[in-house]
Amino acid sequence: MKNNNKNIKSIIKSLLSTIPMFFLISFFSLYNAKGIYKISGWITVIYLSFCYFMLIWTDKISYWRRFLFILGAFCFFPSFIAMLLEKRGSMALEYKDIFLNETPFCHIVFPMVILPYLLENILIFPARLTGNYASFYSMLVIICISLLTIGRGWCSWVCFYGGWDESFSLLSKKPILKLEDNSKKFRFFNFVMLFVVILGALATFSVIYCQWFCPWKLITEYEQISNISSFFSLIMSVIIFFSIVIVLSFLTKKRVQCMSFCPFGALASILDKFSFFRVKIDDKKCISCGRCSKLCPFLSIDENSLKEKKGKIFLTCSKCGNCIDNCPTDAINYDFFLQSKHIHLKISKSLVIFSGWLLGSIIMGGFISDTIARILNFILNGSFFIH
Amino acid sequence: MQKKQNKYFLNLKIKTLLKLNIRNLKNKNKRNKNNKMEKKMKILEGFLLGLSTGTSCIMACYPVFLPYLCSKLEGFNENNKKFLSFTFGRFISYIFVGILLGLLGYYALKFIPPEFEVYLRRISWIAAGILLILNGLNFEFPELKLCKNTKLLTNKKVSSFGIGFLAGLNLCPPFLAAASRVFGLGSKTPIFAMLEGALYFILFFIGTTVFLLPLILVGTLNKIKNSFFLNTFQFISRWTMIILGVYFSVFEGIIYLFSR
Repeated sequence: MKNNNKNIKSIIKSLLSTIPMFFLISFFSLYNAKGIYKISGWITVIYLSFCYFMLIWTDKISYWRRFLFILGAFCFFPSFIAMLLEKRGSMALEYKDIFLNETPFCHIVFPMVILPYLLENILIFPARLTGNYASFYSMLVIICISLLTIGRGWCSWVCFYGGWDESFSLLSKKPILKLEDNSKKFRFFNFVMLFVVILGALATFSVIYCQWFCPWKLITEYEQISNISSFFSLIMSVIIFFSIVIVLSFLTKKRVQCMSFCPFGALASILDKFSFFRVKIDDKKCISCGRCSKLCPFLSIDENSLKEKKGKIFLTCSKCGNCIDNCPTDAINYDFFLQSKHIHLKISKSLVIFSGWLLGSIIMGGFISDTIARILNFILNGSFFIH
Repeated sequence: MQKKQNKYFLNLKIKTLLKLNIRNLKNKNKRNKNNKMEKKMKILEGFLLGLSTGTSCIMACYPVFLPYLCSKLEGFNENNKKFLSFTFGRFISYIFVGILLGLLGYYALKFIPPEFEVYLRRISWIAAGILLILNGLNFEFPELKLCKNTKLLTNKKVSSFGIGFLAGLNLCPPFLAAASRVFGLGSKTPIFAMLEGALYFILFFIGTTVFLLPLILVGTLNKIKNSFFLNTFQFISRWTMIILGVYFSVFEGIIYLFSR
């Protein structure tokens, strides 16, 4: 009887927590939605609200987070490719599109454009400065808000590429290739990529990551093949996508692309110092079992510090919640950055989850809704293209 | 009455002619002074050009030299020695180009094809890339004993000088602007042309070096007591050097040359 009462109380609490999220997601998903987009919008709202409710009720953060994160990533590419095909008839970027600044501004480009923009007042990426949601200034605002609230949590709650990495890392039951937990080479290698792309962009005044290192060109857009260098750059994308995003993530059960390759992740780690929230380990509760360190997809927990009862989490932590879900003594939690690690405020956990889920729903909800609309259109009218 | 009038007009003529002659003399002196001042200003302009366009130097020099400095933090004095070698390398390349352009003058534009600047830049990228790769591998994998086989190229002073020389050969727009101004100096003899060209580029070099002075501060990073941070920072710098070296030599050098 007591257990039933507890269950009913927790359901009601979770429902009450879900209501504001429901209204906010509805606003962003259904604003100006017409026809088939209204139906797909409602499906998206119900799905995301239900997953959020389950997250709050079961308290399994990382498990339910994946329902948004992975679906968002897998809905992003059909939606984006379909939009490209409707607009220009091809995934390939022609020179006129580059010349007319018709390329959507991707967040990974951000580290490369800052210094040339500050030094020479020139945007080296062919995107609009203003005018749509994928312009430079609008992406800058979105990134600043995200980095202030959830910091590097962008990589586990918002990024529409990270879901690929995460899905392949979950496919195998056990790691086939074990990465050394204390090896800084894998944990901090994305900082190498960050400095390479910043300095390379300064030296050549071009976005070198997009030209040569971006694995996501296969699921978004790529430069039209017109010479040897554009052919090589496409081959590089294919090799990096299959080796780092798929194969290495599958073999190691770690998010290799996000942990060791993405320059934006490294920048987000540095700017995470300014965010309001951290993941902290309470040394008094910690029993040094090391489970969190083994399960962390970013190798962000120092195993040596656990043995010394000092519980250190590196700045590469993406706030995915995997360690929080699996800690046997509830020693790990989301806390405010100034808060003592021995005091846990429930509100800080609620705020991180709320911020992460809302930002993820705003950014990826549109792609989920668009993909559902296109699938419905395909079923009803036989075509994946709507416009 | 007529005589008086004629006398009056004659005096007026003489006075006007005298005034004109005096004015002409004054103008001639002024022009001579102006010409000398102009020439001095033209050469001093090199310093101002370097100072106003030094951000291009940041873009050309920092990417190649900063990872090299950061990959092995050996203290303020050692860092300064590397910086001086690098600056000397740049100085030599600027003097070399300055003398060449001053001597050749107008004919450099006529006989040297426009692709020369492009090929020179790409070949300097390849050479700089190879230097960075060798030094990066030498710092990160000392067990490979690269020092034995490539002693000269992995020597601190030679590497810093080499990187500076190659960075100086990277003909950026301010450098080309300086070159075009050197052509317009209008020297009378070839020796004067060489000297004036060299002087222009020395002042241009001083103007641009101001922006490279922050590199001296890299030596102070050695004083950070957190050994984990220092080791990680140097690890990141070494691998940045290796990957940048590969990028410059392969992608910006070899592939670019093949695709033309």
